[in-house]
Amino acid sequence: MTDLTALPVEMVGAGTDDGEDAPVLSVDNLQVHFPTDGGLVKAVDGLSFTVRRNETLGLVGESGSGKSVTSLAVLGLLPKSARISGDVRFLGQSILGQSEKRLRDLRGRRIAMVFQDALAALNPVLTVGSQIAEAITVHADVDKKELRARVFELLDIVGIPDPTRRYRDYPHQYSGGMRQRAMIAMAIANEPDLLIADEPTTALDVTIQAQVLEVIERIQDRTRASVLLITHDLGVVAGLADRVLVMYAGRPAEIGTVDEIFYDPRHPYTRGLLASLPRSDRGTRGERLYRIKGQPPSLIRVPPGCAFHPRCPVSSDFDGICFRDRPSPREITPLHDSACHFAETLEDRYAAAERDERDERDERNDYYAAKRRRENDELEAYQPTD
Amino acid sequence: MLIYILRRVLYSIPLLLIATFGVFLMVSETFDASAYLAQNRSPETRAAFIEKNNLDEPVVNRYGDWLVDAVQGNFGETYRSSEPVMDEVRPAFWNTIQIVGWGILISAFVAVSIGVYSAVRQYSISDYLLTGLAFVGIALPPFWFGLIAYHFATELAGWVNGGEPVLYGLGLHSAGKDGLNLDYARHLVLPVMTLTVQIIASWSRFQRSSMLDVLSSDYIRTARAKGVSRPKVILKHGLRNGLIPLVTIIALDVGALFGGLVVTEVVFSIPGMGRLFVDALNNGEANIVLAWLLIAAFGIILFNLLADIAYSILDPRIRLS
Amino acid sequence: MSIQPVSETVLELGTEGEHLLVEGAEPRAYTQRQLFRRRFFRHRMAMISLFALAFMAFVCYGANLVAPYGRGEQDLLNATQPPSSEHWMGTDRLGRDYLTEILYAGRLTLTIGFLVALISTTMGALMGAVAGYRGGWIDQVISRITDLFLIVPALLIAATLLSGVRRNGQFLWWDVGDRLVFFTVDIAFAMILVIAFLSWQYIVRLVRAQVLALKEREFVEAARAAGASHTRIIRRHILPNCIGVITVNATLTIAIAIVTEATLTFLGFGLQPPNFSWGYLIYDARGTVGSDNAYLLYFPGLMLFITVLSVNFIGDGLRDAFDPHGKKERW
Repeated sequence: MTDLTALPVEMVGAGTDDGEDAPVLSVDNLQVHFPTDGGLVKAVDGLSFTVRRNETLGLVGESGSGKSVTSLAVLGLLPKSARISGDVRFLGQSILGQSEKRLRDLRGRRIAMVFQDALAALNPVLTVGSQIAEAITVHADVDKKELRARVFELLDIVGIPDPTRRYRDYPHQYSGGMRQRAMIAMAIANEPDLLIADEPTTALDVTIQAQVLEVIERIQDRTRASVLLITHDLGVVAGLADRVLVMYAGRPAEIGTVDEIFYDPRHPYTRGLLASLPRSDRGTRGERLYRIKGQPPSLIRVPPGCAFHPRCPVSSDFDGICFRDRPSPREITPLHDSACHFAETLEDRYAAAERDERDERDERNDYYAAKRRRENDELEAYQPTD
Repeated sequence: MLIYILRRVLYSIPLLLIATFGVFLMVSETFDASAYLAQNRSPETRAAFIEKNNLDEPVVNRYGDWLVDAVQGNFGETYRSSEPVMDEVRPAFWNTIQIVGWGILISAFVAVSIGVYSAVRQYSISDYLLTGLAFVGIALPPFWFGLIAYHFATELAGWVNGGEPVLYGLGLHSAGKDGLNLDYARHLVLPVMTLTVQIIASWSRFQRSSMLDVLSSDYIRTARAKGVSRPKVILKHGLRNGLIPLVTIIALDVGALFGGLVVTEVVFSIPGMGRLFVDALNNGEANIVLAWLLIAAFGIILFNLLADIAYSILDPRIRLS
Repeated sequence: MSIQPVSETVLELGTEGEHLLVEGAEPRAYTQRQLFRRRFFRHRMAMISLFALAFMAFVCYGANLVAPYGRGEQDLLNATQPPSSEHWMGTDRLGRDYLTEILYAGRLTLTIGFLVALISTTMGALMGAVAGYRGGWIDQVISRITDLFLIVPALLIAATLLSGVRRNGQFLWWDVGDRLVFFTVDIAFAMILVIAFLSWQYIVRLVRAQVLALKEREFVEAARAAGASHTRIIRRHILPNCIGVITVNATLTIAIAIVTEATLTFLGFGLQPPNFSWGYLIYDARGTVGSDNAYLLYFPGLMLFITVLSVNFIGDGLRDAFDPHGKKERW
């Protein structure tokens, strides 16, 4: 995979106006395997990417694609049975396999995480205020008055009104959107360099989603933090991310800037995801929604070669390259890589496939039409002519 | 929260009334006539007995009279010696409270510790060992365990102390001694062990399961992601949530505790309510039995009430809805 | 088999939702029953306990075939001998072979256990199902009664009821004017009734909760929408899903019933000769604490312990087998 850190500064993505070229997070060939009764689950299989300062990388994929596992691996929060290999560097320092003490120092202070279901992710028997405060006191000694003031400030930043009351409230007394914002407040309490947001909007209504995303954006502007935004919702990604990494079956499918991914997808999976979005600007009313046929594969027995090829509309025939070789990411533009054997000529392949399908359809229609005509003729021959 | 407590108290009162009425009914059906009338068939003695104990009045009336007296502390007189029942009950009650009190405290503390430890060290050797012990503990009939323990203590005495018992198995104090001292402790060990072994086994299993549930929840992960240290995560975040279900279990098990203390007192000859109860049953002393069952019912309902309150304190979701 | 297009054969195996991408092989599907059996057999302790319990039942109920000596055969010259090669468990006060006595005594213990479980489970499951399914005032009544019974000290109530029987062999009486009519019962029968009477509350609660949960599930709604009658719904949808809860609870009730019987007998409110149970043998031997004859105490208790332990393990195994979503404890 193209090593983005080796490129000259001006070719790198957004937000590097202060000349810092060291990425905040760099992941190199991450593998996370879980031994289970049924076999070895390869949750993440060869993932590499970087996140630069003040940049938002969207990590997109279906459930089971390995996105959450990746984020937990960064923080060292995976269960003990996980077998992790590869290299994960934070601000240049390798953090994979570090001691618990060192990791604890980073967690909540330099790298913070916002989880998906805020109702489950907040302790139900402690007040929200005390939980936010804990994020601070774990890493520093602060006296009570200052602590309270700081928590009020955080509540204000994320847009939670009436902090005096809200400090004493319990998670179940908050609304869904507020809870998520409280989680964000907890995460940014120490102004981390990297904020990992794992499906921060999935459990929320669309209108609330927008609010929460706006909060994240505001914080990023303020603190110039980097954001790793994990989601399966392309709409969320479109609004907030600078670059996007699409994952499938624990492997990288495609990575590029938002524009490149949305307007020039070079991987059939990405194309499938985009095609299945209901779009009001495309005038496709009356047509069925597009679905990628098939189901995500078992991570124990990933298909040989390209993981996506069984579901791919333009994959090679049996025994072809898609079945034999696992595609490694190839460069389309300096920031845009795609792990598909046909990445360069994808558009043509799709066109050809469509043509073939149309031809087949025409052929079939002709055949049936002819058949019907023959049957009608035969039927007429048997009609009694009275 | 006060309203919540009030509501619970209000709910408990009819429960108590129904329970005591049921008890009264049961006792009057199986006691009065069987014990004394059957033996004294002559009409005069029967009539006299009925007269004295108002046995010819309908049950409800008798119940009412008895209840009114009972609330004032008058449980009537023993059939045998016509002495006030309260005189027998009071000292016995005090003895029993000691055993039960120690029992509950020790049980709760040990069970929670074992449960938490097992959960944190799931699948380790100690976990398997403790789980195995728990299964053994649950399967041990308490009365048999008590006898065996007593036997072993006596055997042990033979080897260790030259015939002098190390742990006593009779009563609560040696002759002439009193108060909170080593002698007292030596008397307490066996009875409390007998009372608590099954309870600790059962509660620790439950606590382990509850802690496992808690430790795999999302908010534990959040706490760790914040950088909270492991012991703090387990105790501050985990245990506070993990204790809540145990409170319910403790409330449910109180009834079993009463049974257990009867057995313990009988095995170790402790002059408490349990032994009093057994003797009263054997001698047909209805009033003592009634007194005891009333105290027991009251105690259980009170305990449930306390458990509810504790539950609402621990879980703000209950408190504030 | 030739290689099939891989995309067609994505299967869901079992109830753990395991997905398997099969290349060319025929899919192996298991029925619910097979899955259950597989899971149960994996639980080693449960299997061992099953054999132990079966063995126990066999030697007790088949005591007349298996016991080394005749029942009640006294040999006063050899009274209270500790275990030896002739008498594996020694002899009791009257010179009877202890092993034989224990085997015969086991019959009543086990029978009481099973019968109590049977009666209380049947009654309780029915009440729980009715309460859960019908709801309304029936549910209220049943629930209140159940709550009441959950709170009472079961052992004390049992002791009180049985003391009546013990004292005079009578249980209830009616005053029919000039006479008193006594209703006599056999003590073992009384024990079964009394203990069952105090055991059903747990199963009522569990079944009621299960039925309530099932009632809301989609397949019940679907059945009702298709016009199924209540009886049909109960029979085909609700009851089969309750079997797990009922079976596990029934098994555990056996253990509780056995211990309760032994405890009551030990306190003096239970069986007495000629009805023997393990509890009675312990009661009889309670004076041997601290003496050399304590073996009279060990053996019956050991039998109780092993039986209860086995039953508990089996119950645990059943629970694991019925509930695939639970945490798997590997023994």
